[in-house]
Amino acid sequence: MNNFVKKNWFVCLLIVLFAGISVFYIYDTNKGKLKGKTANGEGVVYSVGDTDVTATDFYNSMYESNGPAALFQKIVTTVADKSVETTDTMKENAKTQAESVISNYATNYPTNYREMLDSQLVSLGYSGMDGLEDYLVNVFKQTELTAQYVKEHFDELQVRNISYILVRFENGDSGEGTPTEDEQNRMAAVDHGLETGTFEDTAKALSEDPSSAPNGGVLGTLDANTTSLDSAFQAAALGLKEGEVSEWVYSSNFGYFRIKCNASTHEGMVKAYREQNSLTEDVEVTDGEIYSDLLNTYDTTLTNKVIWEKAEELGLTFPDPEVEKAVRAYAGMED
Amino acid sequence: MNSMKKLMCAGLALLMLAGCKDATAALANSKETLMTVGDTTVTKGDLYNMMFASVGANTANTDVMNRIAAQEIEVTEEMKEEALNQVQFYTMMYGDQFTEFLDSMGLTEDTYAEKYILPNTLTSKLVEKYTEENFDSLCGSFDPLKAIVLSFTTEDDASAALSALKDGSVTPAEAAKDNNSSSSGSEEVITMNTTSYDSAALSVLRSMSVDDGWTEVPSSDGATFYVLKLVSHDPAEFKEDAVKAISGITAVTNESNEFYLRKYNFHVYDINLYNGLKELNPDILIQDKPAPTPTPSAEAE
Repeated sequence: MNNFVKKNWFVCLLIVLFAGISVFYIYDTNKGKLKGKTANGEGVVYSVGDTDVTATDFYNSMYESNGPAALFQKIVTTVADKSVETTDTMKENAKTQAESVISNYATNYPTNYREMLDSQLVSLGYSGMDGLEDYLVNVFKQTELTAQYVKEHFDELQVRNISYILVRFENGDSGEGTPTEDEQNRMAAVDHGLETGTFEDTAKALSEDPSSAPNGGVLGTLDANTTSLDSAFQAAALGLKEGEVSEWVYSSNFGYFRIKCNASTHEGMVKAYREQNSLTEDVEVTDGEIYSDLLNTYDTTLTNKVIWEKAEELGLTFPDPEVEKAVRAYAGMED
Repeated sequence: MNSMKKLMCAGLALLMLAGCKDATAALANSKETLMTVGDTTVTKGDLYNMMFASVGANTANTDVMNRIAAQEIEVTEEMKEEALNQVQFYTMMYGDQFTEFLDSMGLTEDTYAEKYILPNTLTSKLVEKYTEENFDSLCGSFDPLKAIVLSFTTEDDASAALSALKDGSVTPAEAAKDNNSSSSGSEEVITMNTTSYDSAALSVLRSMSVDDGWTEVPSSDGATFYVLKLVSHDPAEFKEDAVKAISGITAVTNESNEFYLRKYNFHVYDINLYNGLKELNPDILIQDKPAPTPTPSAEAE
């Protein structure tokens, strides 16, 4: 050994130097790294007291509050992707919206908007910020899928586009359903307006509901599943056909309504949408746009139902019945 | 030559260790299928990643303190009953909306109370426990006192209330109500952290004695007129209320949390969680903080 070193002293010196530099380099590179830990062969996420919380423990903890929601979200995005074709319009709109989303995030989270967006998109099942346009296209597809369902089940759902004129109680509801003299006078003025002019102009001039009057009394699109409206109003609205105006409808909550059905067919809905949004015939409108207020406001249960039914058509399976039960409960699709 | 080659190989192997990354905790059975939609399979690993991105840091942030609180605070029947009452209050307030929420989460009123309300109660009690155990030093820092403070928008109203109170003919609540004040007239604990009253009024309160009775103080900007009375400046006389007030101070909560996190040696081993917590609540990462310096009195002991 001594002879070896004597003969090759320079090489040995280089090796020692090299080893020393390597060790220092390894130490310096690794000193800032987070060290891991395992317990019973599994990675530990954190420890507190005597407890090592493994990745499985952490999974179970997150699953309690978020598991079924995350799984259902995955069903939604997968079904929409598989069921609706991507159109050029969707891609263009997604590109425009993506710029707007990024701009909003940059304003609200100036120092870390990329990380925020990344995290949000990963939680939705995408790879990160690069998936933003894909996510937006998927949202359009979800709306189109549900709108297509509405179109196919239009009569069964009893879809109606409705406008109304309201005459409020003079001093609260007397409980008898008989208008006072003052109320009768205001109702007569409305009747006269409807005889001599349009429903829209009469609503603008005389309806006592400040939220709808400026729009000519337009409420929007409802169906038989709508639960947020006055029951008397809804029952009367669903009983009307396209173009019909109801007689006075008494509502113990509000007063007296004249209700107009602007559309009770899909073709009527397209026409009403164009009129209410001042769109000419050459402007393309999608089913998603036409039924957006129904899906987003007046029948929010429809999307989950449509997605679930479509998922079952595509083949939805859960090896664990408990997982299926939890996801069904989350989606409102219990057996 | 062969020895040379072996030495060189050993050196290269050592260098490979330099490529070590920050640790992540791998999930067991990550490839287990949870559901299939058409030809798309979602595994346990996929779900773990989605949930981690969405709620990982928040879950850990909450769970850590819940675990510590469960060790330090005994659950009483009173706490359980209070938690259930809270849930029943939600049901009454929000009706179907809350019931549907419970259904969607697979929870009953009892399980919601157990999983969400009770842990919150325990973490609040944890800060109270810390406050009780450090009562003297925290009182030194926050100087709590008990007082009644009535606020008025006009000097005439304040003077009328003051006169009636000095007579002893009305209670503080009546004096407030009779003179256009929305103050409740209840006794309250005021600390150095209190900002709900003008500094001029607070300054006068701190200089008063209990024997001074009722006094009137205008605010610095003259827009508000206070009628106030010092009830006690000895925290031992109102310890329970003082503990509640002090433990509601953010700095005390933070101090309490750090104390217990160190006591239980909280440590994160997964870089994704570490980064998430650093974003959400960097104070929880005690592994990054130097150990607190012992105080001279502690050293003397």
